[in-house]
Amino acid sequence: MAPRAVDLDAIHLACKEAGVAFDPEGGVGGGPVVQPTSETSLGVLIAALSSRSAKANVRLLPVGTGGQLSWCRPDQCMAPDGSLQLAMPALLGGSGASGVVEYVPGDGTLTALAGADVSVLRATVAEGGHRLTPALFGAATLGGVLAAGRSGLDQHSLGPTRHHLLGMRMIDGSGRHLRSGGRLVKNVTGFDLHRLHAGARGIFGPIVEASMRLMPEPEAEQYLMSGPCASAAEAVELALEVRGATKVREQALFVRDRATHVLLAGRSAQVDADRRRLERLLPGLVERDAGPGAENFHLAGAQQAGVRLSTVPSRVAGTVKTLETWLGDLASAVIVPGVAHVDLPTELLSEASSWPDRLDARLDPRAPLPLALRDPSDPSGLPERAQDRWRGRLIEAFDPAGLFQIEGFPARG
Amino acid sequence: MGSDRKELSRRHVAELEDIVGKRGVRTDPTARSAYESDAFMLQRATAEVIVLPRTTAEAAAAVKVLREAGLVVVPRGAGTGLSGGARPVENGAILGTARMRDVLEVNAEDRYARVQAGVVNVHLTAACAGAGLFYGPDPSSQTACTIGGNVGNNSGGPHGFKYGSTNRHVLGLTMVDSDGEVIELGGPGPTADGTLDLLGPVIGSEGMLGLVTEVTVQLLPRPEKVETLLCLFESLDACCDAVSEMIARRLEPSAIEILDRLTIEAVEASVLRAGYPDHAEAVMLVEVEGGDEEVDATSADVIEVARAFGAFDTRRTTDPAERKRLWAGRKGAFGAMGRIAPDLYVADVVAPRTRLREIVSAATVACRERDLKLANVFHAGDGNLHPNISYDRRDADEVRRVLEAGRIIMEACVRAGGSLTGEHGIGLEKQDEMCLVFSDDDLAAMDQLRGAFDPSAFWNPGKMLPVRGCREVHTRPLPVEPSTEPTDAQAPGGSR
Repeated sequence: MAPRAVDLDAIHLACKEAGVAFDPEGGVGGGPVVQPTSETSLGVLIAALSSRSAKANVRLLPVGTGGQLSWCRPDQCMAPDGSLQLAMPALLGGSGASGVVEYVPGDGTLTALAGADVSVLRATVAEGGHRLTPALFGAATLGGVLAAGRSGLDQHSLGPTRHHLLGMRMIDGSGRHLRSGGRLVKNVTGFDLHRLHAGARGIFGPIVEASMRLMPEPEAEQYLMSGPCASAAEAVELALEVRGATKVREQALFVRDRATHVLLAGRSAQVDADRRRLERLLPGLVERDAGPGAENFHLAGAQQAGVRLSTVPSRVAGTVKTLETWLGDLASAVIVPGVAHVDLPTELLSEASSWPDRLDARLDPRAPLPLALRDPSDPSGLPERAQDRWRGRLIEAFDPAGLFQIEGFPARG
Repeated sequence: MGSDRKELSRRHVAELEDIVGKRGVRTDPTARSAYESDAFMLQRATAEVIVLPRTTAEAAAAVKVLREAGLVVVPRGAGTGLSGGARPVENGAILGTARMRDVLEVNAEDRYARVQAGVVNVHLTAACAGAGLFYGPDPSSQTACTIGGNVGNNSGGPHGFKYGSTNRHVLGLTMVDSDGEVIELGGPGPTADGTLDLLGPVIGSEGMLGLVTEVTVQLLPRPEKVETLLCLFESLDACCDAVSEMIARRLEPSAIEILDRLTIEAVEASVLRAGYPDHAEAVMLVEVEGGDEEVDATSADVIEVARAFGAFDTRRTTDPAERKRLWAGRKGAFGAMGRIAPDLYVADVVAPRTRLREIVSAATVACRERDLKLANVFHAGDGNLHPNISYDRRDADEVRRVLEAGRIIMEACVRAGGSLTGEHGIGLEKQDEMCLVFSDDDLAAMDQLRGAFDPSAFWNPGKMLPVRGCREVHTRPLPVEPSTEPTDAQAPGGSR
């Protein structure tokens, strides 16, 4: 792909007009970055760039920690070819700022700036006896997690992160400051623009602030792991047995290293009772460190995933069995049967040039490599459908200059 | 009658009858009068035609005919909505799902069901009960309201405290757009990360983005044990404070409901008699679900808090018949209030859960000052209040006072950081009040979202978004004011 010719003067001019710092090499991966320190200046910058975008040929990419930049190819978002990173943490206003706008322990809600570090937010609400989903550790910002549509280990029991999103403030591609939803655990006032932004990778403009529903910190937690199975597929079968056992209320359930991993959480007496039931279901059950250890264990697998297969729970075991036949050992894969995700690490992909077409499962286009792989359900080449028209009109409405658009996203169909 | 009145030609009626059968097309005045409003009775209009398709294909074909005829369309489920969202647009068409009542699939292994939009909420749970599963959202009108209607309003219900509203349970939708094209969004599997979540804005869009014809929902495993608790209070304020304390203590029952004295009297005087004691000023109905140990521990904590806040009697039951009776009283409370006055204005507002007492008090004052009869029954655990004002719609002055009180309650909620609606939607009732919450830019963006899905404003026009500009209605967003109540709980020991 040929680099786009960027009018750096136009960018400089817009930054000057908005009073925003521009650093041609200060972004993630050494890319060019703008660092607004106020929402007002960010709005002015977006409006200025939007009005100049055709001439400047610039695209603006909201970035938190940069941990999810794999959704666009490096030559599209890292190099100074037209993609300008927008450093959202800059809005926190300096080092040490938590980004917490409002934490109301009595209401179980948190409102924070998009650039806030998720681990800082989790630590803040833990002091009040709450948990923030997703259970992610490591570098991630709230806005980044929401824009990327990321969920954590707790998705098994709590559902995806977007289910806990209560409202948002955002700035659209014309520089308008917008609000949707609120800070309440229940609210159906108006259209849910915030739900549209969740998972939209910033193509409608940056998320500035988000409000989240919090979960109570459990009274007790136990992280348990079965003995190793002969294959990942066998461990998946065991995990599905746990899922089907209605008397066990697992918080998280996944397969890694050919073993079934279970996180129990809740009232102490209940967790103890559930453990006794699990001992009958899972041979060789051992206890591991609970809490961050369990979450990091999953995260380690998820972060190295090159590709994610999504199906339905009843087809996970069959899918994994097929993969083991083709690819051999799947010990390094992270499989979440209840959510029906199979995350495969990058090193397996070199051998995976043909199998996706034969699997009835969807590939996650978030995966950076290999670019040759395509979602088998991708309807490219099919006539335009209503969904495509809706998407097109949404982009036209909220990013008329195309300032925030990412090539290849969203997938059609 | 305006000059732009659209009339359905005989040819169009014949075409519609060819598509959905004669029984599915109603143009006679008697039938049309039955659709003049939903459960928000204060505003009525007559549709030109009522069309009742049986399948998605019929609905899509009917849309093409109605569009060619130049009519706009209001989607409608059971018409139980309380904000006028399903009220016809004068001389438009109603496209109802009353004949789309098939449960198409129950998949026990993958825990989902696919249903036609007209399936009644409670019938879905009945259909999957044999598999040990249930559907989470349970609006009080669940014996009548439809799953499609629940999608339109993002409905909740008492157990929304634990399970959330409809948007947490819908996996996929089949829709018909204004061109008559059939669209599939989502499905039983997880949402693919590389696509936009179009389900998000469609759920709760009050029928303004298209007609939902089929819904795929997640099903949940039935809990091992369910216990219902009844806590009796001598004061409504104390009952509200006890709920705030339960939230502050992070207790996790599945439902926390409050009924006040007038509601209790109405229920106990009706056929739905639940055995609520008539000497209580307020009743708190709590449900706790889960494993044996979890239920025992949580129920004990709930009762401890209730007693600390002055509950003079508490009862616990796991007996299915008794539980059913207690819940029948709660879910039938709106109907039971028919004994008090011919009409009922059911307000639906949300307050932060730390400020329940404050809003209940504001509602009481607003009604007392206007000589109105107020009964409270609400989803306290979610902060979703339903101040119910009894009135007679034939009394124009009383109607005026009711609407005035409703507006004051909404404003009090917004000033407390709350919202206009928790589950009934904006519809026609609260369009102007949208200006209390959102700026002109916010509302313009919402209109743009609507226009992206429905550029010709074919679906349910004139609802939810203010028809007049906010400047014209002299309203602008209200600032959130700090609590007038002490921030710590009032119980001995305060919040944990």
